[in-house]
Amino acid sequence: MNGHVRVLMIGDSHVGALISAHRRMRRLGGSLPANIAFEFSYLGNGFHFSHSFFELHEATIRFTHPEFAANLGRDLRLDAIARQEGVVFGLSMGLHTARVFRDPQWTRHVPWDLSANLPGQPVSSDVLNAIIDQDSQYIVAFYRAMQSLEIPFFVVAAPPPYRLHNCMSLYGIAPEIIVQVDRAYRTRISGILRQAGIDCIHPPREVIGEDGFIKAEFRAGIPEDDPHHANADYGQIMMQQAFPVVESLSCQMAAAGQ
Amino acid sequence: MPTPYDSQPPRSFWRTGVANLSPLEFRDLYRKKFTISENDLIGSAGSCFAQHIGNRLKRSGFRYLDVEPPPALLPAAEHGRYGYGIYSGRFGNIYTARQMRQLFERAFAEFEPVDHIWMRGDRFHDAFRPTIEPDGFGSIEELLAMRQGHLASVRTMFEKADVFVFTFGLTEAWMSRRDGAVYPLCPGTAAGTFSDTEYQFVNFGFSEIIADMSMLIQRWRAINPGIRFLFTVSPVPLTATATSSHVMVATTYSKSVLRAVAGELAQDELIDYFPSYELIASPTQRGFFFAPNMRAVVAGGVEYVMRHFFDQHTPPASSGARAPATTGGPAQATAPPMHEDDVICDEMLLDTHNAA
Repeated sequence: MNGHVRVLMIGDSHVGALISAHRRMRRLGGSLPANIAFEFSYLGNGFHFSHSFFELHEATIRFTHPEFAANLGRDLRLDAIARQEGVVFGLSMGLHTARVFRDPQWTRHVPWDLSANLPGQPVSSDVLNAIIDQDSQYIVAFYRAMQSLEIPFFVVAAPPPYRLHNCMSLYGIAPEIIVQVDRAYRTRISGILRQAGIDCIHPPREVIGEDGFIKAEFRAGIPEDDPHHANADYGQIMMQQAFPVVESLSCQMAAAGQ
Repeated sequence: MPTPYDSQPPRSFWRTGVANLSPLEFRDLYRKKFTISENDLIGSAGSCFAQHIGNRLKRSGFRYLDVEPPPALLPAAEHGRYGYGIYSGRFGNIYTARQMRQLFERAFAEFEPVDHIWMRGDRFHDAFRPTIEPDGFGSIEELLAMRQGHLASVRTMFEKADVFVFTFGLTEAWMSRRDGAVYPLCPGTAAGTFSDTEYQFVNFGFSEIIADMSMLIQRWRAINPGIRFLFTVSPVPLTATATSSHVMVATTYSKSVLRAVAGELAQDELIDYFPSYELIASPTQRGFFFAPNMRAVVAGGVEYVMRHFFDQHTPPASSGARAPATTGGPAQATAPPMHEDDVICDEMLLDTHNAA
């Protein structure tokens, strides 16, 4: 790797697992690359990412959501995002699939490929993709804005869904639907990212149970009434996957003369 | 002795009913045969113009039946694109009586057409609603699963509706030579491949349409004895004809036959006829309500038609717009006002085949 890289990890509440992992790795020593400095900012609740939250202003991106702007300023002392020498952004946004899978619509609708075994009106793949596109439109626009300013970045996916997510007890959504919608969402966004040449760190197989939910060990220590988040063990696995991605982006920056 | 005309009201005479009035002053063109109560579930289907009627019924406070509501997260702007909220089910436009009859038969597994999947590129289209998913389905399995769910919902519509509003659109259709399956569109337009050996053109006559509708009504009443029908004829001319006639002549034939069929069927006391055709297309209206292409009906025309309808079928007083009645789960959002450009009219695809 060429020189020192500053990685600014920003995004939704799933940044929390990465922060916990980073603290632990730093405390234990030896497991963080010496020339990568990670900094973090929890911008705000994942719900807000499905609404307009930024604007492109000349060579910068400004958060129009006041909480996002305030947190970015507080945590990273930035009032906008711009291309900076030696800086890579890690975005924890775009694969928080719960906004779609937890919706009570799934008590009367069902993805078509589950309709033989589950009650409900089948939903086609294209309609499900249209729903996902609607939900992710501002995040995808954010990726594109980052690319248009040639700001180096990668995406870190949210953890797989939690086996006891309260949408099951609250609304009666079938677990198979949660897993299926989660997969569809990840497939859709992964396709967009791949096509755009954007690196994405996905949860590896080792964290996903046979039922498609996150393995219990990666929820240990997380309160049961928290339906989304993973623990520091999960965060560490994701952080470790980030290192080679940062290295690669750093090399690209160096090659580009930045 | 006075003649029967002596006791007729002014509306019965051309001079006082029409000639002395502006078209906008016409009154009393329609008198309802039965009351639609606020508890009646109203279903609707038919050709493009039927979309206006369904949309206005939804917004008026009547209980409009939607057996295939959209998923709540699908943006409203996408509903029409995927065939949601246009009619009481996701069956798309039903232009002919035979198509309507066969929808019933397919819903109750009385008819399983041989040629039922059309291709466009590598995508699979349901031949009986080829534009319901504009890009088709990704696999045959998906298409069949979606159809199975669709037909189950359609059965519910047939079983639950108290009043069914059907707008007759066309007499012309394309039919499979193998088993008589009738399609909403000519194969090779939205999807599929046209073949003379596979498909034949039909221009249904009066007696055929009467037979189709009589059969439909008889079967429908067998499973839903209280069902009442309200028939209309679309005033929208044909986009294109497959006959050797000029399209204007073909339109006159088609609309005349359908108007006669609706009149004949309305002899039944539980079948009403609402004159949307006359309100828009009669020469007395001087083409006011047609767009410059003399085909599309402008929004003012739809308002005019529905004003006559609601003069007789007064919308439930207290409710205003009411969420469509679905077959389970929380109510869906009410329908937004419909612009004339919002009408999903598959038949217009035929104009893309106009070589001129």
